[in-house]
Amino acid sequence: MTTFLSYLPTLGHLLYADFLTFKHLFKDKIVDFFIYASLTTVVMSHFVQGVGISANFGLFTAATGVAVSGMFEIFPRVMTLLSDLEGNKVISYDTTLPIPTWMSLTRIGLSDGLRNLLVGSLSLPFGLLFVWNEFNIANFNPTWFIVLLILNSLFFGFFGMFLASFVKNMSKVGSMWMRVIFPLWTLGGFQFTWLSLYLKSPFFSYLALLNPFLYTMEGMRAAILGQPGSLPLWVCATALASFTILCGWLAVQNIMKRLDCV
Amino acid sequence: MSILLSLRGITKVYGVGTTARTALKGVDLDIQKGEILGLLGVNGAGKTTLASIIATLNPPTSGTITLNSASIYDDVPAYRKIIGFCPQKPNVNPQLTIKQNLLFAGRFYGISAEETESRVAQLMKRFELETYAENYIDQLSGGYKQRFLIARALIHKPQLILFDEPTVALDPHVRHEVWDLLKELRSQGVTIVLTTHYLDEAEALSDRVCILDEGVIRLIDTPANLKSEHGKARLEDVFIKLINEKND
Repeated sequence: MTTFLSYLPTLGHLLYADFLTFKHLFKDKIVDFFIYASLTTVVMSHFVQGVGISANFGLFTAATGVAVSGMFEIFPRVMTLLSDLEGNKVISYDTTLPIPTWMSLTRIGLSDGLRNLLVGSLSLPFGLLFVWNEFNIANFNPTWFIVLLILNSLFFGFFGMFLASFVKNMSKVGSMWMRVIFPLWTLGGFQFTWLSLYLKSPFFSYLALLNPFLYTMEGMRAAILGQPGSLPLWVCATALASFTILCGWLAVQNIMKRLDCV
Repeated sequence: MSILLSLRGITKVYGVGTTARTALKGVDLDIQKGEILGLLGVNGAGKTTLASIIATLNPPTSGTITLNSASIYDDVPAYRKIIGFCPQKPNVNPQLTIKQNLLFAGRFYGISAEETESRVAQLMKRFELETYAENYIDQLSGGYKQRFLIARALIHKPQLILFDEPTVALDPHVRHEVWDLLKELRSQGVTIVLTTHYLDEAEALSDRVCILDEGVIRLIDTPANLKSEHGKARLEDVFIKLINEKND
């Protein structure tokens, strides 16, 4: 019987092949993320004060931007995976390799998570570039920042795979952003904290706990800006790990069903 | 010849309820070591489904497949190490070069870096892919795409190779090159399952042909036996006779 450890070299080479594929895109992704991070931070820290918003909101937005850096990869990755499922099915080659099918499919989310991590690791300096003066390094928790960055990256990797496994065809992809990602992002605390929502409406704040995006943003803000006012870091990390496993498991089950895999 | 793979009662149903369609209806088949077995049939006869099941791309709805008396589903990764699958559509990473794709293919099968390098060099030479080493799959013509797919299927020296319509849309001279290759593989003791629409191809290459019709094996024998049994000069005529009998 083949052992689990004997599959790891194949898995490693699959991930390496994905990395080589991503290498061509890396520069573009960095430029894209720099545009997003710099523009939102500049607008939120310098332009919106005229309408009564605090200048600190720039730093708040920068930390939130770091949290959701992987979110912007969901849409292109769903498109890629879906066009493959509907087209040449390159994925079918992976499912004939000498490793369990669930493992070759799990690696898609893992690989996307690692891509997110590569881009996300540059998100902090990009985000802080225009609000450096407001950043208090004493509040920064590097250990939790790394943990949250890894968990956020993996979560968005597997969440994208989860969405791709559910979307029926390319014509339905357009609605995915507006109907799924945008509500989760907006209601997950992109512009507010969970505590501020709780003070306004306890009911909606408890409902928001079902939203995995909440933990990506609350956790990252707690790691960068300090714990006070955010959900506890360990709660965010546990919730993110759980949502990642759940999304990964459901995505693999769906794709296996969709491809009718062994 | 001894039996390499034994299929018993293979059934495949796609869909559920009113949309359910039975593609294979209790197929029993023994694949002998070192033979070329041609799977023939009209569109929808079940030949690609059967090849996909043997390649472990899809599971059967019921039935068993045994290799050396053990079910292949007891250890699918181990079984996949001894088979190669050459699909109809080029399921190749389009962002890696031809050479990179081959190198990774070797590494996916656990072959060492040095051995993979030398194997890739051999295969690229054998299939005249050296000129296209740094090209991407979309830059190759149909014939070279097919050569690449065959080279990739051979990278780990499989005992059994499944070719799904390997000569569709190829120029006649390229078709004949593929035929030569299949004969060469057979002479090396490799077992081949070949699904094809082309009856001349099946006749020229197959040691035995298996004619599938609506998910059932209608005939299975050597081309020579089938022709003499049905009093026909060509396998194509046997096939047409069967179709006409069915329509009558």
